[in-house]
Amino acid sequence: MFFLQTNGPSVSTVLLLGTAGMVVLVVSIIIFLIMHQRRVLRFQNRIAQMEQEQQKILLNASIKLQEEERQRLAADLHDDAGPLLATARLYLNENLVNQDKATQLQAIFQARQIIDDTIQLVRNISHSLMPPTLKNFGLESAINDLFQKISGSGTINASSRFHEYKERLKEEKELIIFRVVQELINNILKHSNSSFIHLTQNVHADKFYLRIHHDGRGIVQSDFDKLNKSNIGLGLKNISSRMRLVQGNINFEKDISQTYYKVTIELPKDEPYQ
Amino acid sequence: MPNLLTIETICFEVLKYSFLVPVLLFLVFYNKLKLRGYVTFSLVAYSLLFFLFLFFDKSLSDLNRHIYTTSYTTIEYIFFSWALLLMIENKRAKQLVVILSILFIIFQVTYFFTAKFKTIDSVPIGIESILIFTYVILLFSEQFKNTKNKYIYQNPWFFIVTGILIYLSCSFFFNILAGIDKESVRGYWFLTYIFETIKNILVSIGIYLYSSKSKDDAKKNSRSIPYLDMI
Repeated sequence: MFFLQTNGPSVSTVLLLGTAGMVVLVVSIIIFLIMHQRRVLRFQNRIAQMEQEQQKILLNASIKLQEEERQRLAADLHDDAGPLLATARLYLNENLVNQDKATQLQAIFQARQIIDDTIQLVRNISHSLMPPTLKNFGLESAINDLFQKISGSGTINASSRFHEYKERLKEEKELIIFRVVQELINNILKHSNSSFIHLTQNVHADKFYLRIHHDGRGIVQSDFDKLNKSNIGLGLKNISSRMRLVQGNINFEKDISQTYYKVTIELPKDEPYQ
Repeated sequence: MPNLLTIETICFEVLKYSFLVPVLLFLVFYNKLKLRGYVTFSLVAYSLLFFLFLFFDKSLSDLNRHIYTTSYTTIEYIFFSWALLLMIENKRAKQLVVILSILFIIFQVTYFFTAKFKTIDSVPIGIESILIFTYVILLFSEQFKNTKNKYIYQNPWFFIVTGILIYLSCSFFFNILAGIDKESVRGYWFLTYIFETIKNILVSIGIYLYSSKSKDDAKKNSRSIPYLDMI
């Protein structure tokens, strides 16, 4: 305060220097705020843009997958159901009335056999679109059924175990999770060359978990992220978009023992449990 | 000295009439601004009141300088803190502003009756400035968390707050030192008029932006009701 108590010029100097300091300080603060906020906004915009691009890739993947599914359906109907029905029609032509009774019976029997095969074929197509076990008995039964079928083929040992599944998830969520599991199993069967697949389900700290272990070749999270951003790996992109739909996470990693690959599906418990 | 006096008089006159700019803008854009709530109303009321203060500056000052300066500081603080209170959204920050304002008013009353008055009420002005800086920091930190994809200078409040900040911080040393050495400060006092004029200009820009923001809001609202013209 001694500085302030001296006469005229000293106070003027303090006044001018202090005010100049204040002006510089305020202007610097304002410029800093503007620049900093611009940088933050630019960063946010870049993230939003990247997210948009990612969504576009996922959308394209899902459209492509849908088209592939339609093509498969069209091929099944055209190549299998079409010829079967055409054959049945041949057996049941107008000349049949002019044939003797034994031939007529033979033709009707053949046609019936073909129609039965066609019914079975249509049923199979329908089941591949929406498994009846999933609709009627839930995710646990559908996954157990799927694993039994895989195990039944004798090429791979597949098992599943649900520890805490007293209440079913919402129907559409069950279907989404089932499709994700189907896609993962499909990939494991196709690419991993593993000798076993094991699925476990449990609930921990408000989260619903599904874990798949296998002993073949697999991918880790960084591979999954890379494939998700690239133009290949349609199935994985589809898994990503499905997981996003149920607000869940999927994590690919190697087991602690570094022997097995582990895929973890995580869902918020409060939302699906209605 | 006559030159300095002339500069001071010119600056004072400019300042005095600069208080009318927000009022005029408010009158011109009344239809749009009436939808913008109390922020513009409080700023316009502040500008009008302080124009009157400055218009009758000499007679009011001669009447009782102590009452005049104390009421000037108190009313200025009330309007600034009220405007900032309206801009701040966080409930806790609002509560803090209210509590500090009540404490400041109590302090002002106590100080008025107990402290010996010299030229200017330096201590209350110093406290007022520090409190307003605190509220401005609260507002900035709150708004930074809530960017809404908009640049900070596109908001009307940014100009108003910047104006207040420039005025209070740049006049800070004048107000503090005027109580110590009146004569040394007197020669440069016109600078405070310039800072206050800058504040009035920035407040006017803020009010104008509020009016154009109302236009945008109206457009957005009309877009959200499709085919209304077909009814």
